Amino acid sequence: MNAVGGMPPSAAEIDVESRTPMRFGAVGNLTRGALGGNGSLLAGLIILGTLIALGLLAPVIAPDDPVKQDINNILVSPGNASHLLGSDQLGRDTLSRLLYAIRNDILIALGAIILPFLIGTLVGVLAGYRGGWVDSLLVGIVDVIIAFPILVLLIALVFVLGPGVRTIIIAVAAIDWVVYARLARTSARREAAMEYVIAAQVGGVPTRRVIVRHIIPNLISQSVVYAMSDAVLVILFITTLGFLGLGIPPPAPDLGTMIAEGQAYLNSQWWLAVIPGAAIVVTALGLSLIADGLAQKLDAR
Amino acid sequence: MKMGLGRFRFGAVAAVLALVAAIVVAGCGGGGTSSGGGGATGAGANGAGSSETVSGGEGEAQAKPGGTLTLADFDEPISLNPFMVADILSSHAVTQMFEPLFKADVEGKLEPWLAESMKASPDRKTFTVTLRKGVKFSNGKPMTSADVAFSLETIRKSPVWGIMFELVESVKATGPDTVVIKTSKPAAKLEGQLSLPFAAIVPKNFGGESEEEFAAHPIGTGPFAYASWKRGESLTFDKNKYYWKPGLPLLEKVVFEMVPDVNSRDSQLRAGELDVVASPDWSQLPAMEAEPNLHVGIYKASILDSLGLNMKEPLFQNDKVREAINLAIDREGIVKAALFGHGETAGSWLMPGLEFHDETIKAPAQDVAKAKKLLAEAVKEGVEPTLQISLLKGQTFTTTVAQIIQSNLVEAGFSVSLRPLDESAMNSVLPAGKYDAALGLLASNIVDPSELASFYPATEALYTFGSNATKVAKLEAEAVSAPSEKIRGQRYAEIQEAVEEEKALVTLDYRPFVWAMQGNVTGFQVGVTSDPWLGETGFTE
Amino acid sequence: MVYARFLVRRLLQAIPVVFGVTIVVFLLIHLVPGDPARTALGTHATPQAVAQLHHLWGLDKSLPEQYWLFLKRLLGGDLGTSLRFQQPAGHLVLERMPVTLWLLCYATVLTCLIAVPAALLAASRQGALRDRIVRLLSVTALGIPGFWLGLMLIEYIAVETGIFPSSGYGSGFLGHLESLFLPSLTIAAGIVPLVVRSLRAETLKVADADFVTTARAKGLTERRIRLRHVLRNALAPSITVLAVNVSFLVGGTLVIEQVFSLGGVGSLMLQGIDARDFPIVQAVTLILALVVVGVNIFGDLVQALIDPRVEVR
Repeated sequence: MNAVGGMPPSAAEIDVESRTPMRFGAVGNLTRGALGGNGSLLAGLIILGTLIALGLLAPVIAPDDPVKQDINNILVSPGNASHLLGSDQLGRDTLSRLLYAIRNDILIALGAIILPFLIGTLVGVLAGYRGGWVDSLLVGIVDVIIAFPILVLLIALVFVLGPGVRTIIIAVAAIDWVVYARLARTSARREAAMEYVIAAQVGGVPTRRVIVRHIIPNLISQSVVYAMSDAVLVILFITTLGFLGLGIPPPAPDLGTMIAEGQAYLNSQWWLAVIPGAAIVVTALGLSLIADGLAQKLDAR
Repeated sequence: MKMGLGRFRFGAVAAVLALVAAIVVAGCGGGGTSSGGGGATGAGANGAGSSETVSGGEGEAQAKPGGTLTLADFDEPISLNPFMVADILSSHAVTQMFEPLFKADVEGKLEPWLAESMKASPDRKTFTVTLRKGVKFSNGKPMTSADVAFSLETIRKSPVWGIMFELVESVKATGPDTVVIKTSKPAAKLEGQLSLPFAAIVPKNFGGESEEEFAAHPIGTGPFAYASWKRGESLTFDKNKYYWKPGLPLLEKVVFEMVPDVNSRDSQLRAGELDVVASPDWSQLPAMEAEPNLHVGIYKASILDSLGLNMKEPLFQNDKVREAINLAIDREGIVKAALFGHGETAGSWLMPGLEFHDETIKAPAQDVAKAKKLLAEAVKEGVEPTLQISLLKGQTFTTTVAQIIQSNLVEAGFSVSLRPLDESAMNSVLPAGKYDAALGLLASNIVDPSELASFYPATEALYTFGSNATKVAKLEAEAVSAPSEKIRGQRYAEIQEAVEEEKALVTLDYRPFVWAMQGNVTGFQVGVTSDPWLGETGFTE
Repeated sequence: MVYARFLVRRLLQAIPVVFGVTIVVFLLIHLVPGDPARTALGTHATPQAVAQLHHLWGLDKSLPEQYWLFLKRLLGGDLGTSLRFQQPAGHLVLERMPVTLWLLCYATVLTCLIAVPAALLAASRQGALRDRIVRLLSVTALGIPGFWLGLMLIEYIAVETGIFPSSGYGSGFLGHLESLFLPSLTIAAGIVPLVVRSLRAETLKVADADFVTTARAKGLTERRIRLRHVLRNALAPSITVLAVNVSFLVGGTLVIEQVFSLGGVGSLMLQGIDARDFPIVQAVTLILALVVVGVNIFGDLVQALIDPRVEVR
């Protein structure tokens, strides 16, 4: 997923054979965190942790109900005693909406990557380990899905299923699993050729056990690292849908919807569209830094 | 000056005021016109035929011929074949190229246009139209009675518009300048229907082409002639050299750009890239009015926003529920927050500006306590107060209105969710009755109420599936054949009452048409039926 | 010769992929609720008029039959007729193609102009402040939503300063160059971080490679080594990153065309989806898929040409 749609860049980059793999630090110890050493991971964890804490605590710390309207106090400027970040076109408290929107978007994004993570990893391992027609079929599906703008596919899916959280989760799962599958397939193929696996096979260890005990633990960390950077793409995707009016239906707060609603006021109440956009950037930065940091840990091993 | 000066009521006094206003505008660059907003609301009570538009007419010495006007609309026409489309974008384009026999002026008054006169037989079943002489198509060929007969026969049989011309039995050219229209029953006001912009006069047999070929490069008698159309980008018209009104049009060229995003339209206007934009965002109006180089034209309220309740749903079959919804909605709030004060709360479903609009039907004031009580009673009777409101996705105005209504209804005790749909889905869901409640809008292409009144039963009470559709159909049939204007007025009053009584169509607000433009654009006219008339539009200096 | 064989093989491989794309799109778009006939006729239409249009457009046929007809026409080079516009779909797509191609190429050029210097700057001293800044910036840029960046550029650059137009395609080469600058920049912003990463990493890797050490031993200047050897060898993977991301670029244009009101293929596609204009949606996806597949093949080829280490199989 990506904000502006299209092919997940990370997916595209993870090619099986000759291409440079991964966008996050898989080029070995040449890469060091943008903040050096464990800095990335730490900074990312702090950013994301703060945002998640704010989001989870939104019901407690939000000054107001995020959907409560006050038509007599619309478009109040920030700094107001009752509305710290001002109010929107329906008189709703912007700070409360922002907190709930961060909560919604992070939760949906994390929720949305679990399914493709599980399905994709499983399918990829099976295909990579078993080879044969299962593998060929997977490669075929991956090629088809990668060959056209993913956003189109996602938007079409949203149209078919109707907007909502469930739709986002299904749509992301339906497409994103191929990326995890591809990733897992490559690793599984590599692992399958390793001596210890061959030894286990020769030694009569059941296939299932080989996969569960040996192969999956060896590739899972790589998938987890990818999942973090994937979360960035999913967040961008969710907010893009919200911006296009295809996201979670109003009045539920969502950062993309807030930008769409606020864009009319850019020349007068700029904060309405600028603040939620900045919130997306910061959230994504947190996730990216974590991915970056994790990737280095992985490389170091 | 035709824009932004909307607060003046039309009439003899207004003409003087208009002139004064024009000078004020010329002097202080229009900034002065933004004072005392809410003009649309005031003028709305003025009844049928009044208009927000102030016509400077010949008084404008500063308008000069020539120039290219670039106008941004929110979408592009579906087709340029007037007989096959009914959408507002097509009507904006069709109005520039084609003309009907009668036309409503900016005040909503009908005047003969391509017709010079029309005489009715005493039984009002035979109408003899005398055509205006010297009218030419944009290819230089003169308009003949055969062209007119062909055109009217075509609209009468059109799958889109046929329903409005059901009365008409035949149209025949009887002389070089005369056409005779025969109707099956007496027609009370045929000129009303004939003023439909889509009842356009085209060359006979589409000039020997197929309908599709004709639509690709149409030829009409309007002030502008089709030049080119880059799909998804822009539609260009050239001046019709053969236009029958002397000295008109002023502009050499008109470009309709398609800019669906309202914020893009607004920012392009502010950046000076466009001359005129359709429907700027309501929130932008004060800022635009304050801008010395821009004018905001707020024209006659012509759109009705409504919440349709699907009467197939058991919930809405309960009278108390419909009444509760009606009372729970904060219409003042909608006008204030969604329209930024431009527009007014809606009573009758036939909007002001239409003939026979009943202004005695008033929007009820919000009464949450009573709504709660009614709903509680209904719940005791066994209804489940849960509903989903369908609305068009991605539109700021609609989304805002939906959220206000949602919050109102929740306050009254309903459980409400919103369901944003795109236009295609909406168009399929409504006729199939697969919705609970839906936000919709209604606009008329003519000043005569017959378009909407015939549309109502044809769409099963605007897809609310109300029980009054047959009644309205009967009243409408009586109205179009009414022996006198008084009786016709009574029938339309009864139609408005019938719809009001059922409360399945919850009227919300009357919304004016708004166009914003650069200060040097003059003579931009918008009638009560939304279509801009660019025949007299030009630039100052 | 070896390249020609490679090309033919890749083209043959692409056929089932493109075929798969048409099936997926065909099924999806027909699953979406909504009726093109209702959209075309508007709410005034009678059920008979709707049925008549269905028949005329062949929508009353079964889905497999419709797909079969679509394929048959496709083999004859006909992408069908747009339901909404009543014009050949292929023609409409080609008419809008220039805008999108311009955006794609412009964004690619901007990407290179930004990413190459940034990556070389970062790689010039690994771990130095400039390296960290470049890296931090690119991590941040990765998370900027394109639509939001577009809005910001429109409001704060185009409208406020008037340096660039806020929308439109412009006319003439220079006109396009000016008008499409902001949208192309927006699209490029999403790709630059990826290219910077890859190019920086490759540069560092190559800088340690044997042939560079040899070149140093030969006494070539550091500057020359960088430009001649390091950059040349590091470029190949970066080109792949770009090529592989072409479908991301293409997707990017979809939303960015909306934000900047550009009448390209992306907005045609969204209009097509909105109007349930099946032939248009099919034509656009098919042509875009061809572009994506084509650029990927081209990318592999270029990489093979630049970098002798890449095997052509």
